[in-house]
Amino acid sequence: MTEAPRKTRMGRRALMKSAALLTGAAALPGPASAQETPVKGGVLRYGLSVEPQRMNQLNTTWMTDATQHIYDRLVTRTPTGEYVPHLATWTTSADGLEWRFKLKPGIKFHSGDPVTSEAVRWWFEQAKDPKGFFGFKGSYSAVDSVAVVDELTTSVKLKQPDPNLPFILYTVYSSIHNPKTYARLGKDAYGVSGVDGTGGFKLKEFTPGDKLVIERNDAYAWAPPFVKNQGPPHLDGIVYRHFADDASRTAAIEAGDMDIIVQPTLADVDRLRANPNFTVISKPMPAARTMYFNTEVAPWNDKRVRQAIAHSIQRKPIIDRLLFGQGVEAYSIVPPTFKDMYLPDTTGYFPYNIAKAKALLAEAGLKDSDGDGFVEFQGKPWEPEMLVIALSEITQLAQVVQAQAARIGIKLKIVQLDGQSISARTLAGDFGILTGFYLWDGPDTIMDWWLYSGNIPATNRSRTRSPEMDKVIEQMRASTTLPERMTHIKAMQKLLHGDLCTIIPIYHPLDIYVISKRVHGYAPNSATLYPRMHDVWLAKA
Amino acid sequence: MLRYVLRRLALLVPMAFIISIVVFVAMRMIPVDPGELVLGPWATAEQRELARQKLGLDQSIPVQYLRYVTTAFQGDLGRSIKSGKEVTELIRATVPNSLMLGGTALALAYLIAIPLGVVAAVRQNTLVDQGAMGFALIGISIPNFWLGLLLVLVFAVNLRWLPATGSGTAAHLILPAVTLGLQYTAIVARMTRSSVLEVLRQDFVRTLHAKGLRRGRIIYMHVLKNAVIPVISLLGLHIGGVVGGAVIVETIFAWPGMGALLVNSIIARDYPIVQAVLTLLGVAVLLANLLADVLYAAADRRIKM
Amino acid sequence: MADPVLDVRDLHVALHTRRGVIHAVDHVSLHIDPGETLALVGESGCGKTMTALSVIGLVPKPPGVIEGGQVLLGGDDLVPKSDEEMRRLRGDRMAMVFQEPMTSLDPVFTIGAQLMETLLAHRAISRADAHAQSVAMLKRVQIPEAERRMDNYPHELSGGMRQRVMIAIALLCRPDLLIADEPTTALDVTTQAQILELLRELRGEFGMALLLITHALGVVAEMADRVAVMYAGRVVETAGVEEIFANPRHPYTKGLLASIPDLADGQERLATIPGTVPNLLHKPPGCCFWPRCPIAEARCRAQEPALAELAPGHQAACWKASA
Repeated sequence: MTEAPRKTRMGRRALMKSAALLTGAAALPGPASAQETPVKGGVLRYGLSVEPQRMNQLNTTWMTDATQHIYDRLVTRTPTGEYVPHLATWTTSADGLEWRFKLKPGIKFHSGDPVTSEAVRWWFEQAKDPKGFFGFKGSYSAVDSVAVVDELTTSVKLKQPDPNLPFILYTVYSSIHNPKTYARLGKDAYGVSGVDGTGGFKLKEFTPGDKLVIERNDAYAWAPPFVKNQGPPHLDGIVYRHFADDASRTAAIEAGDMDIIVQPTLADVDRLRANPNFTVISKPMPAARTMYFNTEVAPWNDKRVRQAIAHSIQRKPIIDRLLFGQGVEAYSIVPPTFKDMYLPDTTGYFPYNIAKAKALLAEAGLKDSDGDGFVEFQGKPWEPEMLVIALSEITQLAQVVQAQAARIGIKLKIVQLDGQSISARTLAGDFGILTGFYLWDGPDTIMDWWLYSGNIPATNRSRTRSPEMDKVIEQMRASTTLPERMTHIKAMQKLLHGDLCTIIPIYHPLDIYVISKRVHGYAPNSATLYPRMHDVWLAKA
Repeated sequence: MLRYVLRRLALLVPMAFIISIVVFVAMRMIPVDPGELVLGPWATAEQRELARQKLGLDQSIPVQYLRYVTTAFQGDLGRSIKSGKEVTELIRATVPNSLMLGGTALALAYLIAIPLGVVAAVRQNTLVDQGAMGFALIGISIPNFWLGLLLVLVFAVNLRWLPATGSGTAAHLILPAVTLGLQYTAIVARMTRSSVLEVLRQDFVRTLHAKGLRRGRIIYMHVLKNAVIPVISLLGLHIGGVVGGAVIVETIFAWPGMGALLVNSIIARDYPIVQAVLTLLGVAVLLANLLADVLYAAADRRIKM
Repeated sequence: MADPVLDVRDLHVALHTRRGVIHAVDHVSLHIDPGETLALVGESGCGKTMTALSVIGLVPKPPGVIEGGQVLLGGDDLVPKSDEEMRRLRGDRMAMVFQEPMTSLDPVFTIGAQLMETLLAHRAISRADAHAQSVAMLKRVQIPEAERRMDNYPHELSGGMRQRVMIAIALLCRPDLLIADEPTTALDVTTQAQILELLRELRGEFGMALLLITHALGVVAEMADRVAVMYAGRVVETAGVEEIFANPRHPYTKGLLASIPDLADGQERLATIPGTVPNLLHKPPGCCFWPRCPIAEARCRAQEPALAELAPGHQAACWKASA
């Protein structure tokens, strides 16, 4: 998605965080507390940057942290990125068209009802229902039919093989519910006033705008295999509070009101790191801040002009000044943490190089003939508009880009607009250059949305029309194995960042956690967007 | 007076209807598809249409309004699109918090501001006056969010005397109430000062001196009573503002009030909440103004009701 | 002859403004005997009101400064007294009624409260007694339904009624001296007459001295025993009331008398004094009236004339008066 102002960033963020990395990812070190003996009890106070939402993925796509802990999925993923059984083991037929899921015995919902194959069948039926509200029913489009085999076994038949199915079943969007409770509460109240999952925590209280409280499920005995604590969680419960303002969220943990917060004010990160009371963990977000062009408007339709801009961008000062160093330089839409997808060559395609940029502009016929330091376009002074959403981070970014473009003789004019207007103008094609952003666990999907000519104008806002790109995207979609898919994803990066330059990545922001030293066993890593709570315990004050 | 109040209260009913109609229509004018809100950005056209039908948005606006009003009278204001919570429940949860924060802030503001304004006026052009008005100027000029963070830094982070955020105890109330109250303190103090100065210039004050009354009695009985009358009319405005307008303070202190609920819902286009909260705030402002008018009339018998 | 109730001697009050010093009361001497009415006459801005305010100690300070002189009330000099001592005297031994009855009462307190607080400020009596005495005084100033009026607010009373209330407040403590500053100017003609009649009656009844400030010579003729004419902060002529009407000596007094409308022949003939009141910030040297004086001569411009006794009880400050 581009700026996509209609989709609130907060919402997108919640949505995307809930899915998971497609690739294996390096585990980051957690707080050094593993040696001590866990203590049972205590309520963890967790400060969120995103407001908690209803915990029913069938009725919304906005998800919240607690969803991870309230529900379990059939499949889970290890910190090193392998998909392994959680609620169920599975077997796949030789042709890849039938998957059989066999539930582990003895698993119970919060209500005490046993988890049976009927719940699994019900889930698949809901997920694939073409009339349903499920936002991700497209992911289930390969599912043809579902049938109960016995008390614990479910058979899922596919229309065509889908190598991506374990990923789909792993995300919080495939959480398993008790169909009886769901029917009793109705889809509006389910996930709000009550839930019935199998997770290590149960919903205790949900007051939007104030707090979300979950408490330990004492019956829990089916933790994922890779966590140390196989019994019920150590914590009595977790209180989530939402802080819209980074500064007050930061103050809350510094004042001792919170035990963990996400996203402190960037300027404070170094100070917090130096504070012996806290551990700070940061990892790249599956996101990128970009800028892109309207490729239907001259002179942006000339790739040499776009490439010149790509050469003019100096990313380090942007990250240092805007993000106080809390970001990663981006040369590909795909963040380097997506190891299987990421194409490292992208860093060398268009490095910062003023001379080359000027040469490219000259080749494209953009020259400074009147000696004012800025190039003319079609013989007239040229001051192209850069549309900027009126948010301070983006406005600052635009100012730096403006200064950097001036070095190659392009005089950008920053036009600040509200989100609605930017959305309208991009859809109408009434723009030249813009900043963009996405936050989503599948950069491959983003490239499909942003670059496929069939997606003009709604998601392909740069109006990129490239037969080669279309061909690679179609190949990616048709892949039957993961390695094949990865090959095409890399080819897309090579084409986009090595030649087309319709989208120029600038930086990948970081997910930052500030954790009080009271908290033990909390280990965010790139393989889990919502770090698990099974091993977390609180030292007695 | 009683009849006047009853008449004004009766007038509230059509006013509430008008407010709700205006809000209802305005919310439907916003060019945003609430279907997207339910389903998120990745919804297909078909899903959006389903969402519209489910929310009743495929009907004409009058039909939608009628349905809204009918269910509202049965105590059902619908559900939040985003969180799925019942709107009545959200309002029940936030109204007491807003009243508590707003009430404390205003009480604090008026209790400090009125004496401050009087002292400044009586000691006009002295250091006391300049100090008080300097304070008021700072109070008006300091942005809420800055003051709030400053107070948090000093009293919560460094001194650890008070919690930085949250709600539940009296200690939680102090910092947000002070932050919210300061600008009102400043406004009311300035208003009181100029009002007192104006009253001091009036003829009757000379009469009071000529009668040989003590200065204290003249200032704190006669002048003050005259001077607070215009200040009372401010109260009506402030009550409305402090309940619905405490967004920034509520955000900084994570205080679960109506202001933040309203603004977040507007940003999210969560219109069942916006609809209900705005209508409620409209009625609250009308009630606050009625209260101010009654107080005004009680203080100044020249006002005929 | 009894000692005067009020004896003002050589009183000098200056206003220190940003633009300069105004000698608002310029070495004024006056006296009033018990039961006597002295009319202080002059155009607005001549210092009448400032003189009265100096007497009861309500000169606004700043900018006012009493530069010199004495104000003897029953032989006791008020000038050196403290604020608190003056407060005790005000409303008790001396009282003042102001020009504008519509704004001289506090609009948000009842009449009763405003009467009673005056008594309670000066007398150690119960509220019930204060109430009873207040009602009695309201009756005495001929307010009908006095009992009920106690609960009224000022806006519920007519202008004349309010001035009666003001008089009642002033007389509650039976003062030795009542200062009435243009007490009827703001009232209609019928009411004026009633209020003046009331004042005359009460003066007789209470035997107090009355300092009546007015610019209306008709009122003077009706009320005053003696008259003092002020001009530019100075007393320029003083005499018994009949004497001054019959035999004015100062050209300013003559001008004033000439400007009385002659009601007898049904039309107003106002012989106005040419020119304007001098700017007190830049007083001319010599007699302050000379720029407007029809008979001024060289000496008038150079030297200021002092008050001189021209006849028993008749003084004027004019070089040409004695001639």
